[in-house]
Amino acid sequence: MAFDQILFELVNGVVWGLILSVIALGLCLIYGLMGIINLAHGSLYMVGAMCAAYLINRAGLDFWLVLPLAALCVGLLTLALNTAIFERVLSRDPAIGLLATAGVFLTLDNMVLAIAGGDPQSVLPPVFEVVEFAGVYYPVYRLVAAGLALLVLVAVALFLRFTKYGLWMRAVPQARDLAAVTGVPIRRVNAVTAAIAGLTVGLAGALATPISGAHFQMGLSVIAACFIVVVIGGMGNLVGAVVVAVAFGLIRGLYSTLLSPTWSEVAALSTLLCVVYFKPNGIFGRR
Amino acid sequence: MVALELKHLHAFYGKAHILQGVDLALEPGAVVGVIGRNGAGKTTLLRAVMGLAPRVEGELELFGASLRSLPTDARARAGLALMSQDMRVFPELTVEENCRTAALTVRDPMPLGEVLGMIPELKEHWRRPAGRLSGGQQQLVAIARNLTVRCKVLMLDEPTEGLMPSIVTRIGEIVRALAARSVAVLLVEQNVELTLAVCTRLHILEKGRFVAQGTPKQIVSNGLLERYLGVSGAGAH
Amino acid sequence: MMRRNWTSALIDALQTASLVLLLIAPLLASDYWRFFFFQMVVMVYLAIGFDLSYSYARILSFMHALFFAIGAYLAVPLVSAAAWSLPAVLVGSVVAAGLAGLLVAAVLVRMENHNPTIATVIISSIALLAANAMSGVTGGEDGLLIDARTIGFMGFQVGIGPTVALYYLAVLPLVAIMLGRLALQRTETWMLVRAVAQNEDRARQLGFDARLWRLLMFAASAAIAGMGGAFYALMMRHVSTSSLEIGLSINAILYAVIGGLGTVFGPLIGVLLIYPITEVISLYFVYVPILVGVVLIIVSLFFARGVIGTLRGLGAGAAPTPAFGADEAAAAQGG
Repeated sequence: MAFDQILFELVNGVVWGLILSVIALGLCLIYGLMGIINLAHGSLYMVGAMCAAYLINRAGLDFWLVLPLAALCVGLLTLALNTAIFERVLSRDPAIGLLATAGVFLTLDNMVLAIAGGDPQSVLPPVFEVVEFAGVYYPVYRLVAAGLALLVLVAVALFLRFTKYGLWMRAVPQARDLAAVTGVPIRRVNAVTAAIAGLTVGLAGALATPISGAHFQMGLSVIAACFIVVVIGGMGNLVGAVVVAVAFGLIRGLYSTLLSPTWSEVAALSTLLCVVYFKPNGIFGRR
Repeated sequence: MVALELKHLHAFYGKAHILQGVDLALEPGAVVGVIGRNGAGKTTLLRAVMGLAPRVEGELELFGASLRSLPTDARARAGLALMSQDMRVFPELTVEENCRTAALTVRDPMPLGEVLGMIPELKEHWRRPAGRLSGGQQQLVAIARNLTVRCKVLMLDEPTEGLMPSIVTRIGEIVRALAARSVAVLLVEQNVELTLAVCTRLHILEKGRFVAQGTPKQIVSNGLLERYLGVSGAGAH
Repeated sequence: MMRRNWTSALIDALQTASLVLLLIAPLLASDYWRFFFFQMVVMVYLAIGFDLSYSYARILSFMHALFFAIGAYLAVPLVSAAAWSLPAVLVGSVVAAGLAGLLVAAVLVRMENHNPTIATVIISSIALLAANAMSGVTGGEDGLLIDARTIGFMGFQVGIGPTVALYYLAVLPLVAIMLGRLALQRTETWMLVRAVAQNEDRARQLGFDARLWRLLMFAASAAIAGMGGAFYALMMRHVSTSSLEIGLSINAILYAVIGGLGTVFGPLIGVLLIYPITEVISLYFVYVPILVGVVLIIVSLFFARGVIGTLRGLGAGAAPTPAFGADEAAAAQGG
């Protein structure tokens, strides 16, 4: 394969890796703060994408306006999930959270199917320009999406470092009981966590629509990668998840130079699965 | 007004009936010690008051207001504080962040400068991750956190276990300083010497019930220490 | 004591009734109902597989549909008129699914907390992706057909599809598995073994290899799911990649949870209760999975003990029973 084609796939890989890391971030936050494995996380991504597709194609809104709207939509949905389910599941057997979020996944995916139908929807990118570097012609939108994803990661990092809730969100996973005993308002912190997870995953979904379209089953296509990245990065380890997500994107990009898109996904996932065999609890370990 | 009042407190872990009717009244400025053999229920007592025990019955009041319906974090914000061995510090936060985590939970925290004035040993470690400090230093961080929130009732669960004598003395000093500031202190301890030195009153907990109480002098002279704990009171003053 | 008696009696009655229903249904019913019951039988296999994995291997698995599908796909090329054909299908499916289970469990038992569950979701997704990509082999979503009408078994030719003979061939191993589990539960060794398997540290102290135990139990659970898949293929005479979808695993989970996790009859009762309801609803409402999802949410939040667990809980009075493992808890209390 020619060098420019390889570079194209690698850049694609980094773009996807960054978007994936935003998705994985939310999953990691919910696990780190509340100990809940949110099996419905892929569905939230899908809702973000479907919202974006609907607002752009049916309501005719501008893409850049739709991004925060879709994020907000999913943020509110996740807050509702937090109140209805996450809070009720907190102090109980973790299996209950797994089962309940599995139920949410089924419900959400099929509700969207019922409402929007099973046909994949495509969304036009807001910018059509193509940029050239090193012999590669690359869609500008994808670079913008990657840049925005990176911005989101930085914004979350700054939030965690410099704000009150950010400090509390860092404290709670380190010592849950101590946080309560110190007076940290756990319920509010959980709500903020859920909101941030929802906003970020919804934004990721919206960002992805010009690249991969919107379809009621797209949550499924992302859930394996999302989970594997979080497990290998170390459950609850935010930096780990981001690093592994970008690595996954690159690995998938590499495989894409040789295999079809589906098979490169299978190959990339299987490769990471092998890593799981050797490091069943993550490379970096849990926080 | 009584700072902390417990009336007929019972606590259960599953089927085990750990606390079997505990009554206690704690005034501001008092340092009340709870001593007893291992398994008597001392730790459960503190955890039950803090809201960390699964099933509790009875009355729990902080300055007359019932705590029963409040979750742990709300009790903490109301002025109740617990220092426990298994939760001393947030290990990956710096000492400064440990205190700030607490400071942000209340409207009028003690300025960090004042906290450092009371515990100057922490100055040089201010920006280090608390998990890297020694056990004694971590205990001081825990105290600093509780100073920051201006807690009104401080409960300490065996604060000196595994610590050097110099730190033990230091903790005793700080406890007395807190009592002087009208904080009510409830001290659960195995270290009989410290307890006798610092407490204004002692309760002996056996099998989930208070079986004796009095001033340290009374407890020692009545031979109650020997009777319930099998230790002599040599060293009490 | 009175309360304990009536709920125990109710549970016994329920269990016996479900067993009897299972055994006599095909004799009484029309072709349609035989088909209906056969589908339920096959789902019970899958639900038992999930339950064994959760209750004894301590792995909450979202991938048992994969083992089911392995058994189903293996059946297709093995169906013939030869005398060894049916045994080959059954043994083959059990062995293949069991081996796959062993392989997967080797990774899963090394993972802490509920990471194994995540791994099962990942593996299930990868398998579905790969299976759809290999549509040349698997037939993709259209699937593969079994043209033959009969399958060889010793000297006989057994009609495949939802026939009476095949139904009993499917039900008998199922009943044997359930009764076997019942008998095993009553033995002291089993109770000791299970108590120890729940706590890996204590197990190690007693010199007991809990990991090996979990590995074997997971493999057995996979094998049972695989057998169910083989019968499914023989009954439907058709297999497609839709058998690999995570929704199928979730359905099995729902049946097992509603019936009562950790109980012998839970999977059967769960299927008998829920499957007909979902089938009826699907006649009027296309998007049944929405209801399944909602029911799963409600059940896991409020009725996690399932039918049998809740009944035992009522009988035992104020004593709290664990969320899962109601049979063992009852046995331990002498109930």
